[in-house]
Amino acid sequence: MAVTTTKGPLAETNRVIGRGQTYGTIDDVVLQPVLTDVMRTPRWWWIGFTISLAFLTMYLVSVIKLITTGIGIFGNNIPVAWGMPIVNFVWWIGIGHAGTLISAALLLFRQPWRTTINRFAEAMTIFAVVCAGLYPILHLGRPWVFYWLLPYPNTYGLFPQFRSPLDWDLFAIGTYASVSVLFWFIGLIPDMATLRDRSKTKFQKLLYGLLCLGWNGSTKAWQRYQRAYLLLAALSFPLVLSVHSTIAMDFAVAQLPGWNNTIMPPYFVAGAVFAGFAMVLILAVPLRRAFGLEQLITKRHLDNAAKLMLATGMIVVYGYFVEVFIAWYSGVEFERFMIWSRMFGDHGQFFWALIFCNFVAIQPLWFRRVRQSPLALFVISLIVSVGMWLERFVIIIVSLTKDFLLSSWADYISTFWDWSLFIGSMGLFSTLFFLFIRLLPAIATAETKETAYHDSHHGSDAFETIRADYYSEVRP
Amino acid sequence: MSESTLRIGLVLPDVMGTYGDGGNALILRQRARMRGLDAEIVEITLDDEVPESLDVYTLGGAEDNAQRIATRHLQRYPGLQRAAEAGRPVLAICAAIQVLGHWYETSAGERVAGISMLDLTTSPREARAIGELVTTPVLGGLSQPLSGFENHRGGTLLGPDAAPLAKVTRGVGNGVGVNAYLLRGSASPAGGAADIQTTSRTHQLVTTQTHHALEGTGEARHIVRSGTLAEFKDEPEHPHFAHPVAHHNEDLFPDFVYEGYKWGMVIDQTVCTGCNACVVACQSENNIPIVGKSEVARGREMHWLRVDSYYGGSIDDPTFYAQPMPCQHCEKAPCEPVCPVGATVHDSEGLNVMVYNRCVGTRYCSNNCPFKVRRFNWLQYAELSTTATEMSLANNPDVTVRSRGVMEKCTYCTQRISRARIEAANEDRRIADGEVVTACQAACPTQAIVFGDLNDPTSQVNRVKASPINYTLLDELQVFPRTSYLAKVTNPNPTLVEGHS
Repeated sequence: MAVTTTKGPLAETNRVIGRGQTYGTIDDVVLQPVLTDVMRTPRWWWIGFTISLAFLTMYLVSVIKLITTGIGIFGNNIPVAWGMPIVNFVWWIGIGHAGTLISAALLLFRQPWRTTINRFAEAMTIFAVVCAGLYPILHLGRPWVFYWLLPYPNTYGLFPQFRSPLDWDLFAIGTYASVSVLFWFIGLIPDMATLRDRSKTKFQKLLYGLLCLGWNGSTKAWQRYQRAYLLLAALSFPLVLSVHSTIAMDFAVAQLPGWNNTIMPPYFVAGAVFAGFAMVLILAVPLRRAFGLEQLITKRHLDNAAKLMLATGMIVVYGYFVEVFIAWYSGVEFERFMIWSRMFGDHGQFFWALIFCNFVAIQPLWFRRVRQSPLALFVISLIVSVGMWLERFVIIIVSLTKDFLLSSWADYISTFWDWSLFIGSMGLFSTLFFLFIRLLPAIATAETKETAYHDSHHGSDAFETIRADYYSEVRP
Repeated sequence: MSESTLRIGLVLPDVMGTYGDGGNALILRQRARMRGLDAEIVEITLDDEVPESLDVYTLGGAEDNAQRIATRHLQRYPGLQRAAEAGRPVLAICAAIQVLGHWYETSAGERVAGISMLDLTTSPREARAIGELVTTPVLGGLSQPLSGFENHRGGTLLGPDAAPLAKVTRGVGNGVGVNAYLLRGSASPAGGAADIQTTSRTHQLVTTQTHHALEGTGEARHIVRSGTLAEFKDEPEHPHFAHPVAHHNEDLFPDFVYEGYKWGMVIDQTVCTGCNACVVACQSENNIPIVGKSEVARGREMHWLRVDSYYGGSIDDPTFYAQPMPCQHCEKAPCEPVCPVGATVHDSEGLNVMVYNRCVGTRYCSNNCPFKVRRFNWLQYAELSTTATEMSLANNPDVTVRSRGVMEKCTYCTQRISRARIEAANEDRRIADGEVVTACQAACPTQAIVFGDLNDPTSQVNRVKASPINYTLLDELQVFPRTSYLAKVTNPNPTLVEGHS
C-alpha cells in the first residue's frame, strides 16, 4: 500500500496516530479537559477566553454604533459602495471551507488522516460562517429589513428578485450553515455519550445526556449512525464547491472590470480551501501543544494539510496569472487598465504584498522538513491568511476605485469602525472557539478509537487497507 | 386706511439697500396677510422725516458712505428711536445694526458714531466671513435653529444692555473658513496680489471630483467625443469622431414595447459651458441633501446630476470638456437585475426608477452602474423631524425625502412627468412636446439639455437625437442608455490657433 516505510523517523511521520494509543489514553487526553472542574480550567484558557471576550465586546460596541448611526461610519463611498465588511465576509467564508472539505470530502475519499482534525475543523467552519454571515446583514443600509431577501408570503405581495446573486448568496450560506451544523452535531453524538458516561457532576450529566440523544452504543445505533454520517457527507460535499462559487458570482455577474471574470468561481473555491487549511493549521499547532495532542494530531496531519495548502495555493496563483492574461487577451481597454492599475496603480503595493503572501511564502512547503515543522507552518499559515485578506481587498475594493468613467474614480480610506468590526469579529470567532474546546471534545474520539483499534490489531502498515474494507462494509 | 392695518416702515431703502431691505418688508406683509391682518409697507426715503407712528420698522445693509448718510438722517429725524422706546419692533439687517449702535469702524479705520439705539459697537474682523450658518436662538420664544448664509466683515460686540438673537453653532461666525478674497486685491482682481509662502500648517481641500486628462485610457474609452466644424463638414453623414449609437441586436427575449410615452434625453456638449446651473437646479428640485465638507471628503456627495470635467491638450493650453452626467436610464439597466429585492425597476415609460421603501441598501446596483450616478444615504442626511423646520419647509413637496440606508438617483424629474400626465389626462389628450421640462433642462442657460417623448416622432428630442453626432456612452457594455450626447463640435478661430502656436 501507499504506506511502506516502517523504520526511521519517517515512520513516525506517516502515522495517523502515535504508537501505543488505547481507548483509555484517547479518552484521557481528549475528554479529561472537557470534564475537568470549572475551577481547574487551565490558566491559558482563562487568559485566552478573557482576551476573546474583550474583542467580542468591541464587536458588539461596533455593531451598536453601526445600527444607531448608519453604514456611514465605514469608509465606503461612491464608487466604493462595498468596503471592508464585504472583504471580511469573503475572507471568513473562505476560512470556513476547510472544515467541510476535511469532514465530508476527505471522508468520501477515504482519507483516514482526517479523523483527528475533522471535529475542530468543523467547529472552525461553523464559527467562521457565523462571523461571515453577519457581515452582509450588517453591511446593509437598513439591516433590520434583511429578511426581505427571503421568499416569504407577505401582504405587500412582493418576492425577492431571484436574478440577483445576492439572493443566491443567502441560500448558499443558509444551506452551508445548516448542513455544517447538522453534520457536526451528528458526528458529536457518540462522543457525547462517552462524556455522559464519564460525567461526574449533575450539570455535565444533564448537558451531555441531552446532547447524546439517548445513544446506547448498540450495533444497530452504530450502523444507522454510520450510514447517516456518510449520507450527510455526500450531501455536504457539493457545498464545498457550491458555496464559494455562489459568492464568486456576486462579483462575476457584475460587469465591473476586475469582477467580471468567468474564472471567479473555481478560483474562489481554491482560494477558500487554501485559506481554510491555513486557518486549520493556525488552530491545530497551538491546540496540539496546549492539550498535549501530539500523538493524535501527528506530523502526518500537518504534512497533509500543508500539501493541500500548497496545491490549492498554486491554483490560486494560476488564477492570478489567468486574470492578467485574459485582461490582455480580451483587448478590452477597461480590463487592461484595471490590471495595470491593480499592479502599478495607487494600490499596487497590496497586489505585490498578496503575491508575496500567497505565492512566494508558500514555496518552502515543497520541502518535507518545512511541512513537518509546526512553527514554520504556523508562520506560513498566518502569512497566507493575511494574503487571502489582501486578495479580497484587491479584487473588491481596488477594482471599484477605478471603473469605467474617469470622472467617478475615487479613493477608499478605511475607518476605525471598519477595523473594530473586523478585529471584533475575530473576538467573536475565538470566544466561540474557546467555549468549544472547553465544553466539547476537540477530537472525534469515537473515530480515533477505531483507528487505534485497527492500529493495535493490524499494525500501521495494514491500516490503509483495513480502512478501505471498513468503508466498503458500511456502503449502502 | 383702517385702524387694524399693520404698517411696516421700510427705512431708507434708497441708501440702505444692499442686503435685507425690501424683501423683508414684503415677507412681513405677506405673513401678516396670511394671518388675516391687513398690512401695508410705508417707504421712508431720504426725502421723508422718519415717522414714529408705524407698527414695525425694517432696515437693510449698506456700504460705508451710504451708512454715513443714513446715520445722519436718522439722527436728524429721531422717529425710529422714539418708536423703539415706545416698544415698536425694529428689524435691522446687516450694516443697519451697525448704524443703530454706538459707533462703527469703516474699512479705512475711521470710527463713525451711530445713533446709539442699541448697546453695541462694530469693528472690522481680520477676514471676511462667508458661508453657511446655523444658529441656536437664545431669545425667548424661538425654539427652532435659524440657518442662513453669512457674508460680512464687520464684527459686532454687544454691550451689557444688548442681548444676542442666537448662538452660532456652525459657520464662519466661529472663525471657521478661509477668506479667498485676500488673494485678489482691487489692484489685481484676477489674483496675484498675494504672496505665496509655504508654512508648516496643512489644510484639507475638498472637491467632488479630481481633474482628469483624456489622454491615454480616457481617450480610448471614448467618453467625450469631439471634432472640429471642418471635420464635420467633410463627413456630414458619418463624422469619424462621433460613432453612431450602438445597434440593438435581437435578444433571446423580445424587447419591451412602450405603447404610451417613452422618455429620453439628449445633452449637447457643444453648447454646454459647464456652469453647473443644472446641478443646483436638480439639487433644489429633488430635495437632495447637502452633506458638507467631511462627507464630500469621503466621496459621498449626493448630486444626482454632476458635470464631469475632462481636459485635453497640453497642461499650458488645455482644452476643457464639460459633460453633464445624470442617470443614463439605460434600457438594459445593469443596476436592475442585481438588486435582490427588486427595489430598482423599469417603469412602463422607460424610466429606471428607485423604490425607496423597498430598498434595503445592498448597494450592489451602484457597483454595477458603469456611470456611477447612484447616490447612497450613508447617514441620516435628511431631517428626521416630522414637524416643519426651516429646512423641511424648503423641500419640494412633490419629491420624497429619503431616509438613511437607501439608494437614490436621477429620476428624469418623474414628479414633473406625473404632473404633466395628470393635466393631460384631465384634458383627455397626450402630453405635448415640451410640456415636461426637467429641472436641469429648465435651468440650462444654453439649452444644452433636451428632454421629451421618444414615441413622438416630431418631438424635439427625437429631432436632436437624429443628428449624426449623437452618441451614447460606453456602447460596448450594451446597456443602451436613454440619455445620449451630441459630440462636441469646435470651430477654432484660425488666427487664435496660430497665435497660440
